[in-house]
Amino acid sequence: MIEVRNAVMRFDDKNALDGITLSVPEGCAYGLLGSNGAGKSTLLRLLSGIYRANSGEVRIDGEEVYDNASVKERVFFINDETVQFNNMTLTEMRDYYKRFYGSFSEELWQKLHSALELPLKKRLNTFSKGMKRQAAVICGIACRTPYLFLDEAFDGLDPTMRIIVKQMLIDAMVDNKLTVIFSSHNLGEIDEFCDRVGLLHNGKVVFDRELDSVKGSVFKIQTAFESPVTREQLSGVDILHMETSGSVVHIIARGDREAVRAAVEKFSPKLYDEIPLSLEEIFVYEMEVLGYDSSKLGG
Amino acid sequence: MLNIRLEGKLPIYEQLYNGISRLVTSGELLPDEKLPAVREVAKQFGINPNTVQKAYAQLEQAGFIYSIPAKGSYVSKGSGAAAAAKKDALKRTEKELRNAYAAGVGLEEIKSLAETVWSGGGKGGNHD
Repeated sequence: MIEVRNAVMRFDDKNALDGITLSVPEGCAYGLLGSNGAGKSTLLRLLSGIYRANSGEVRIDGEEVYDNASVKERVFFINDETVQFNNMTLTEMRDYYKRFYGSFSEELWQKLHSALELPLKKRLNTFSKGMKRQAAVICGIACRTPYLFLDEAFDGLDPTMRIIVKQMLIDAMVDNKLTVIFSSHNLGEIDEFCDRVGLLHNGKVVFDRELDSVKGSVFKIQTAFESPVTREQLSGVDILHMETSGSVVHIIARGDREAVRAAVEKFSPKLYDEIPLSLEEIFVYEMEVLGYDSSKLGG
Repeated sequence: MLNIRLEGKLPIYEQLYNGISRLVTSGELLPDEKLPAVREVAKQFGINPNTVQKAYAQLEQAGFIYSIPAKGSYVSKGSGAAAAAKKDALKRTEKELRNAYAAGVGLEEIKSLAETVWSGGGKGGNHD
């Protein structure tokens, strides 16, 4: 279980994280979304014990992460920075992690490595960006830590590699109850793979929720009335957005589907259709409600 | 391998639920046939194993499948799956009936449509 409470991380005089609170239950695949500079990488670094929060709590399995060797042994962080391994070969990189992580499985590493085509004896600085990623991923999974953090790790992989890496993660989730946090720009990927999602913006958590509840809670209704019905008349319905084109009214509503339906049906609509929204659409509407300009988010 | 496709905007566990219940109702999955393991389904579609678990749990609750601890999930015997399919069909029909009501379709029209379909042994009632 990961618990972050009111975490503040300051660089110079800017708060990279401005009082973050969120939790990730065991065995969860957590998707971390947000624009560049939203604080995703900073949060993952806090969780990995690389940074120490200026204030607030960052706990894994009940223990503070920073300067805590026993927690750090349960965490593996895959990020962009493989500079420290540039002069090593893949074999040397493997041995480095093997020394640090007691749970490292040589057998698993061999198995993962055989699924890829990475040279063992070349230095990592001769690897392409994608190959470095793959090297970090197989080391990370072979360390069999209960927590694995991937900082945009999927973004540097081609589609075939994405499938292979995903399958490796699925095995680790089933076998070891792995808890995994991905930061990503790719909503589609998060949609498929995560069961919980958090959205960061300007160092704050905009929301932190079960993906299914996000997807089920906001929907679009296409309806048509005999005589015009105003937003105010539909009292009790949490309307995020409403627009009329011709005789058809489109409503983006939040809440219980049956209750919304009952409220609309009081006005005897000639038409009532519920249209599910994509995760992307939901985010746009939710952000509008919070007063954020959605065009500045995502991507 | 499950012969279903995941697409659309419904939550993934719901898509899985719909797909598998259809395979059971259509007889493509036979009574007592073993369903693929959670891991296999997750890998087939590249989705979260927890999501597959959730779909399986709901299918079990609805009576489409049963599970044997440490062995896996199996398709329910004829009667159990049939009852679950019936319940599901009624639920979907109710939703469509509401739409028909909202569109101004009369009760008599629905009754006569149902009679055509039933008397045709599940066929007939062309409203294309």
